[in-house]
Amino acid sequence: MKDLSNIGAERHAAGCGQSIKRTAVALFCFYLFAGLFNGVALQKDIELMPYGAKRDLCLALIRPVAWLSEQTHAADLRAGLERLIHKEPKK
Amino acid sequence: MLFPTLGFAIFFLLVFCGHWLLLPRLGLWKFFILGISWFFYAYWDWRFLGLLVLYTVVNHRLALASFRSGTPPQKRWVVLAIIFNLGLLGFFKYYGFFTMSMYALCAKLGLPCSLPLLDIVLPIGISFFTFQAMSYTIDVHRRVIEPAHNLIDFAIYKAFFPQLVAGPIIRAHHYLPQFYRITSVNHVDIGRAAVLILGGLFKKIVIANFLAERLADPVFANPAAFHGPDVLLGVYGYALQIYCDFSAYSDIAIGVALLLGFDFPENFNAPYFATSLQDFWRRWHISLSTWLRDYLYIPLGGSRFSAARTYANLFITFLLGGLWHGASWAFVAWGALHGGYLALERIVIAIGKHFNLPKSPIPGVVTRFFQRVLIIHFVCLTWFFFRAQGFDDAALLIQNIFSGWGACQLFTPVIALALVVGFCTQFMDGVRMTPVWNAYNRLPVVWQGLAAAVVLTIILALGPEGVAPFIYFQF
Repeated sequence: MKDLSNIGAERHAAGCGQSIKRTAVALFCFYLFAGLFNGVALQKDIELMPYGAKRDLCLALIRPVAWLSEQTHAADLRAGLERLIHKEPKK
Repeated sequence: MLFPTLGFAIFFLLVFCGHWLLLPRLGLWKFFILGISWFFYAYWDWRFLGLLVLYTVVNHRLALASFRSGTPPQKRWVVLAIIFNLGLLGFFKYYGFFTMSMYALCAKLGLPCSLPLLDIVLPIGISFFTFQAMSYTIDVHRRVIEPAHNLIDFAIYKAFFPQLVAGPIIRAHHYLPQFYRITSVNHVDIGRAAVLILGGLFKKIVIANFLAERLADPVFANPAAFHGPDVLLGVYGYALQIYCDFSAYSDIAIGVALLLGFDFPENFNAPYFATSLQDFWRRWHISLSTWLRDYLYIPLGGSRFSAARTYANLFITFLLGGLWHGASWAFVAWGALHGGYLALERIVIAIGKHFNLPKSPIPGVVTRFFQRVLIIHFVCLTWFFFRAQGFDDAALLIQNIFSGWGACQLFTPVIALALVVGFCTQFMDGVRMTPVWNAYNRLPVVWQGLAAAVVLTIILALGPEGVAPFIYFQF
């Protein structure tokens, strides 16, 4: 069985991966797209949180994302998937 | 702060930015990483942050004292460190168990017992960071590693947030060299990190939560109501639930650390493909099994003495390994079963060698298949003790397997699919996903973000409402 403790070192030596800058851009793209696809559902989740400063802050952060998500119809992806498995979509 | 939550997503974005922006200013970066790791821990329960700091300061001082005590090093410092670490772990985790067991024993013997009963809250992650601290002081004593350069460096190692509350138990010899080279890190294996994190989220949110909700929880909550195939489904469900749950945490921790430039060793490697119990323990919770081997089994004598001593050492190691998981006799029984079976495996091998038994005529692939089936079922048998609410429930469930082989209440095609997919998630362990890691690394950055976001959306859509805490948080 292969020794798994050196996977990272072996891949590092083989030059696998990409620069920090590219990683940061990929991560920001991920957050952007994930926000767009899930904004509406996230807003719904946050609305269910107990009242307080944390909820207010999260709502303030998510509202523009949810709005954008709805306007661009990006939220339809998740809603469609949820309908497909007979789960009540958060809309 | 659970990994699969919006709170952690926001926290991690801030950490990622702060980490890479502050890294050129190493002094500032250290305070940042330590601060956010302590914040991560305090978010669970701020009262125990002091305990973590106490562990850090005492272990650092004792390791330094041991290192400076000359060659060969004086044993008293490492002994003090072990007493300190096990003392605190014993108090927080085992005091209640010990007093209740003493009361039960005294009641049976008709003796008075006046131990105070305390309602002690278990600090999250204490078992993990105690073992981590012990490995550090013992390794410094053994001269395997040099101590951290200063208290801040050690505090960061001790508190580094991805592995703090539920492992994997990262050893200093693995972490510290990376820590001291962190400023030279200029690229990230994003493909591996993304697959680990998304795979972990899939295992936790979709599979583990589903199997818990539909199979394991109903069966173990009401053992009298289920018989025959339902009990089997319940325990298969739990076997895959605990694997998907715990390996998910480890994978996400490893992936998060990778994005910050740290490489943690893998903690799982397809455990339900093991062909023997020894093989199983080389694949399951690898950081714990190697810890037990290096700091308990080998110091006890390992296999250096007589065969009987080796079996006893194995048994003791797993008995204590069981107790590490939780303060109850059920965990002791779980450990004893594993230790006993491991000893039995060795005895069978020794008998085979002694009598020079001929090689089996059955093809290897068939033998390995049946060995795997046997090990899965033995491990499932031990999960009854691990999961059930006490011995009586475990015994009742095992007894119920042999009755009521009529209609199956729990079976549905979706459950069958979840079990198969849960079993197949083991293919994501180890290096089996290397082609996917490399393919992801080759994608343009926008596509990397888009692909990960689509996969996350699918996971969130498939998962149930809310996320249950990870099983290993209780240990």
